[in-house]
Amino acid sequence: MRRVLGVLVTLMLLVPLTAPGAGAQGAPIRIGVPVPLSGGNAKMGDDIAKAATLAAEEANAKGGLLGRKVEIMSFDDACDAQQSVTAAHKLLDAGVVAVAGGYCSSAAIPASAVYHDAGVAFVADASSNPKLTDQGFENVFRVIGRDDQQGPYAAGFMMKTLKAKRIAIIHDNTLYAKGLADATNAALTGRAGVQVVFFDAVTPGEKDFSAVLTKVKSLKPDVTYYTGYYPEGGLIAKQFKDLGVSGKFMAGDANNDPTFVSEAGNASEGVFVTSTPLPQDQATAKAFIDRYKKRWNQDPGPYSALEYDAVNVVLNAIKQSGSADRAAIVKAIAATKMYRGATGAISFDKKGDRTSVLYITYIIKDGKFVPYGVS
Amino acid sequence: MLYRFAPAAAAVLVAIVLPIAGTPYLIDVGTLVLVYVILGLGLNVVVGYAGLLDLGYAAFFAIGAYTTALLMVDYHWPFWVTLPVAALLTALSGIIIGTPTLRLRSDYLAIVTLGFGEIVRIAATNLTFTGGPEGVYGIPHPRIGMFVLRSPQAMYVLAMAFALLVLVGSYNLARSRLGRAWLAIREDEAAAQAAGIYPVYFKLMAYVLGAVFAGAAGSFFAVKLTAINPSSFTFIQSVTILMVIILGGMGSLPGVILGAAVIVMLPEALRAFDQVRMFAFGIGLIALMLIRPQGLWPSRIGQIERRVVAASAASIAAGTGADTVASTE
Repeated sequence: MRRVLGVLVTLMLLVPLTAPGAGAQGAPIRIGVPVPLSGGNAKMGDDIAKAATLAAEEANAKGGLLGRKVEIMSFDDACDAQQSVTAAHKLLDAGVVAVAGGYCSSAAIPASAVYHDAGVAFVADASSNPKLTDQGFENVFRVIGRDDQQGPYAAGFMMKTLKAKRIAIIHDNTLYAKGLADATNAALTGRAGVQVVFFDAVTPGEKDFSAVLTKVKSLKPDVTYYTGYYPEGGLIAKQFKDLGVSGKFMAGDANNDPTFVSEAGNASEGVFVTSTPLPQDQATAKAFIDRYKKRWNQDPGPYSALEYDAVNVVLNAIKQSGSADRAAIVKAIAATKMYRGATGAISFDKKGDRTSVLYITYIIKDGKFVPYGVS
Repeated sequence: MLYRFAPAAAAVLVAIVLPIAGTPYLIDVGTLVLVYVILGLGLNVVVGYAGLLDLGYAAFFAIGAYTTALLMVDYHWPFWVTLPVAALLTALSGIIIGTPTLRLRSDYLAIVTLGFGEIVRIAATNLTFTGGPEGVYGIPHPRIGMFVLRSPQAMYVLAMAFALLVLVGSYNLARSRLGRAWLAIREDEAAAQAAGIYPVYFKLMAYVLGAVFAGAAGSFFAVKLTAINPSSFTFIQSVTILMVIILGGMGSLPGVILGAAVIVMLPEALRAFDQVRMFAFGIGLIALMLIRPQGLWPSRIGQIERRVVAASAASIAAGTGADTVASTE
């Protein structure tokens, strides 16, 4: 019995090996979308995948590209280095001609090396860690700003608009949060009359942050800037208020989500969030939002418009070059000049970073993110 | 006889055909299976052979990966030269952690190793020279002369070489004097000590050898991913490796291979489930453990033991074997 079972299990394991591989010529043009579909960031992944699907459906409604249909292949990268590499190989196997997606920088960076080896264009929609494009891969682009662009913006807002003198910075030691915290800290250091009184990390996944916040309270900050993700951000904002820490609470763009408000409850009132503008606050994105709502019966997520643009940049490049060849697409994307997307005009610099990125600050009022003076 | 050799023959066939006929994705999955085979075989020495519950095994995996990554990126060492250094460093950390803690009994050891695993990960996250949460990027591909091991096929062959080495090592270890000493300690430490086996020494040997295997897996992992960061070496990673050997059957070499294959390939096979993928994976694991509590391919010694225990239990129930249960354990 045991041996029969052994044989059976071995045979069962062979089943996935017989799955079909790359598509044939004349098949649809496939765009890869690696996103987290499991784990704590699954909601973001879902929002991103839906925006990509919408972009492809719109292209197909107009007759497709080069006479071929556009197809989105979306795979789970679980925001994990190892899984993102496997997902990258799976996408390449499926015959994608370019990749537009990703969410966590820690997953996007290892995967970008795989795309680089295969010569496939990778347009990141939400990975803002500077290292992604600093690697010098000619095939890597991003439509979102870099953390070292948001950091100086956040620093300027705290110093000029909030007139803060004593600033506490809390990150969570993830790639993105530490990068943003470092960039903010660097922009504040050496400024006359401004002092970073606290710079330390919380542990993602924890629920009780009173130890860290008690320490922060004793330092009497004017502003506390949290650069991590929203699952902890909402709880920190709540405990910040409960403990009666002095000054304002401000958070980075990964907190730009309704979940932050539902977790923090009343404590979210008056919280500042630095971010790229949400689609609904950009005139260029209005048409996109209407179509997204109509298609999915829900509001777009914070990165949906960026992903929509990332996919469209790829599709535009295929149209411009008149070829679905991987290398031709990389070249055409690099040559993108002032492409009019839902998040504004898109051009890339030599590194593949987007030129002229806009940041704004939101303030939470009655549970809604309201723009607080566009700069 | 056919039953015994058919699965092994099938596995060898798949292992050979895969890099020739497989797509890069399948080869990459195969490579990942091999990484977990190496890790599983290493942890199997600690948990399966010596019976020490280690919940921080990913720490040695991390030390190996970081050693290779940092030496290659910061000091431009060739990959092959970093291997002995990684082995030395993991062995050393195994000795440092093992010497005081291996005097503890199983549950306490589990807690200490759990702490050690977290210390290594948090240290890697906070230290500057390890790159903090960003980890180490741009790790070069290993090369043999002018030939750069870059393609999925090359990485697969390299992983296979590592795995075979570790497999042969494990097989011989189990049959050596060392292996028999571990077996004796695992079954009854007091009796083993009475027979002249110094438990702390042999336990330390198991712990250090297991650490070196993990270090080798880490070195390979670093050049395979070309970028490593602390989030790959969490407690969940330690648990996943433990799952490989428990699922496969503790102390059993074919079991470890089968366990690694299931742990890596099941989530891939379940990609069709999309958002409930990891949920389905969990259900699958629970189902497998309910159907096969002894593991998919348990070790033969373990089976013989169970039979002996069942027989003595039966004889006790019959009231004839009261003298066979002198021990209170």
